[in-house]
Amino acid sequence: MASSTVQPRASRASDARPNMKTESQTALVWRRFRKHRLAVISMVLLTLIFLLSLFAPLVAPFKIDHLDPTYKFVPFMTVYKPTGQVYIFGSDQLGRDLLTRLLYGARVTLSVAVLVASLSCAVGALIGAVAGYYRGIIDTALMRVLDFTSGIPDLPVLLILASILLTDPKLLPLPDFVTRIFEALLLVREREARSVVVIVLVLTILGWTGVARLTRGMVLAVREADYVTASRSLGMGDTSLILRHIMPNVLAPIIVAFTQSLAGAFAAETALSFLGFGVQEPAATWGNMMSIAQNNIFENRVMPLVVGLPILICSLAFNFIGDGLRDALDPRLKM
Amino acid sequence: MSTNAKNTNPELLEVTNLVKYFPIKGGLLQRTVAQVKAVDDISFSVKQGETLGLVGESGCGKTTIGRTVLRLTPATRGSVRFQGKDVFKASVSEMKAMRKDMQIIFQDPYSSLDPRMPVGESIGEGLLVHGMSDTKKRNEIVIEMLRKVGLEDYHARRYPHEFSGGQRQRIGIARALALRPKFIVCDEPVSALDVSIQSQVLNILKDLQGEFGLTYLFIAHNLSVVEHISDRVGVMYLGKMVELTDRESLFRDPLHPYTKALLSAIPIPDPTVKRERMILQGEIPSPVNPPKGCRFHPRCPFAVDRCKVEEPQFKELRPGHFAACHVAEDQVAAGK
Repeated sequence: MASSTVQPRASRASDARPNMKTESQTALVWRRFRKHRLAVISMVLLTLIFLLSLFAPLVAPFKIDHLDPTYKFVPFMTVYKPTGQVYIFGSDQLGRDLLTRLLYGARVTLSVAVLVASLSCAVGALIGAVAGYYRGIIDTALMRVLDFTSGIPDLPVLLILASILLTDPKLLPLPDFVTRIFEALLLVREREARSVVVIVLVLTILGWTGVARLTRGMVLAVREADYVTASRSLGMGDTSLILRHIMPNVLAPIIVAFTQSLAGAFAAETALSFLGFGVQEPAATWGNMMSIAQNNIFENRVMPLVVGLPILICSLAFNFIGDGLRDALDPRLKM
Repeated sequence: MSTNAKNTNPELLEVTNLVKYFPIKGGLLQRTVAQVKAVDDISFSVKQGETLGLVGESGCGKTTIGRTVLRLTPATRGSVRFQGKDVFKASVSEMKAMRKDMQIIFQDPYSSLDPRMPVGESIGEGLLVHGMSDTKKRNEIVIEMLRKVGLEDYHARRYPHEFSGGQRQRIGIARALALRPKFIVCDEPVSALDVSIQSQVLNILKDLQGEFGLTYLFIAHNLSVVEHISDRVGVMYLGKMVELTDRESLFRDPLHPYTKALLSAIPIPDPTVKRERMILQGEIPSPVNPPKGCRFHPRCPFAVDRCKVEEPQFKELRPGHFAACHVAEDQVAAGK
């Protein structure tokens, strides 16, 4: 075949037509990510859950404060006679609609996960980059702080800190606008907004270490690369060197760590609420719904599943996306 | 410009007693237990418009010289003066201004370009650092530089992985040139390239030298390459400069035994030519613990007792011809 002998040459940059647009890094990553079927399914599922919870007031079958004890523990697809609305997933001990509460609860749980992951990745990446780039005494000091922080067992400290900070608001004075923002965002009351902020802070304080260590290691390798030396010989300062050359080259593993951090924060928030130290009733989160389900397991046997399955699915989805991204971003697998 | 004319040019770069030791840390307290003597008391100068070649085995400190001269690695001792200004004592802002005039081209074309940045941006980066914020003006210069090294304007938008090694090396040259420097350290710029591409890149370097009046410190381990491009050549062995002279006398009449051994190792592309080879015995010693006396004496076929105890001085044995060797010194003095 004549065409097959000519083809390979077209891949060389010099031979390609000038007007041919080159594939950007993002397009390349996306193309490889799509091959990971589970990751794509997870991505679609999570996006769906995000959107549904974002538009919860519009899509939820009931109002969030609806309750009617005469309809407690009703099974799937029970019609609420007074208005004709349907308990699609059944109801809990106060006759509240489970689907509605799941949707509103997702707002809290997912926001906490996203916020904690973003904050701890940002803080971790910054600290790791500074430690790895400047080395010496700064590095040693930061790494000792890191060792100390990562040596603390997470859950006990989380329980203690959360309960102390939540019972006495004076210990942690928050600016008014912060709680105001969370009230509006999560559609909860001031007390709950406050506890969300506290949980986010505590989880971030304990969660930045992994990303920091990862970033430091990567930066240590990248800072020795010739292109960094080249930019230094052009007279570039440290800050622009870190931002323009070092960070873009260590970003891939940080993105993967971000999804893992999402999964971790998601599980931690759920666990806290389940144990009763997180966001309290009547505000819904997946964790405190799970604890209701556990307490009433003999009255409503499907409720643990109705609440547990979304938790399981989201946890898995975060991890699958992480796997997919890891494969897509790995430069050694360049195709 | 002929070699003779260049001899009278003013000195652009003066290196005096440059020393660079890398500490080896060990033990519980990370104390310095030993030092790698990468560059040990070297002095030379580079004249305006000339190319000074620097050759030697790997690990002899060539690259370290290139990097310390540009203050990319801090020196242990010694001084480097560039256009009369002390490079090591310059303040941050003085250094930034000086960096505009001195650039570097790297050996490895695969790691010298940021893989996440289009090459046009890499080339224009120096301009941005030195205050040319006008994107349009910058792009013009980037395209001009790409053309100068034989690439096209549309290559500016591409990423490094889309280029071959030779093309990347030319991009590296374009980046070094964008600021119109006076002095460029070429750190083995062709060692990683195919032989057919080597001459291409060397010729680009030569053409650009003529066009912009550049001065090169050309580091290489290949004597044929150095012969092709240099006006003067310095030979290094284990952190020391052993011989320094103009190209003709080095290749015609080398004084130091190490240079002689290197020259006899140049392959001649003619299978019928038989010649005497001077094969060195043993390995290059560790720069952590260099031999006493002349560092070359354990491998030198001409070594005498004096070489084992007394370190030879780097002296001008003939006009413009420096060498550090007791035997050669005696021979020259005897009029041989």
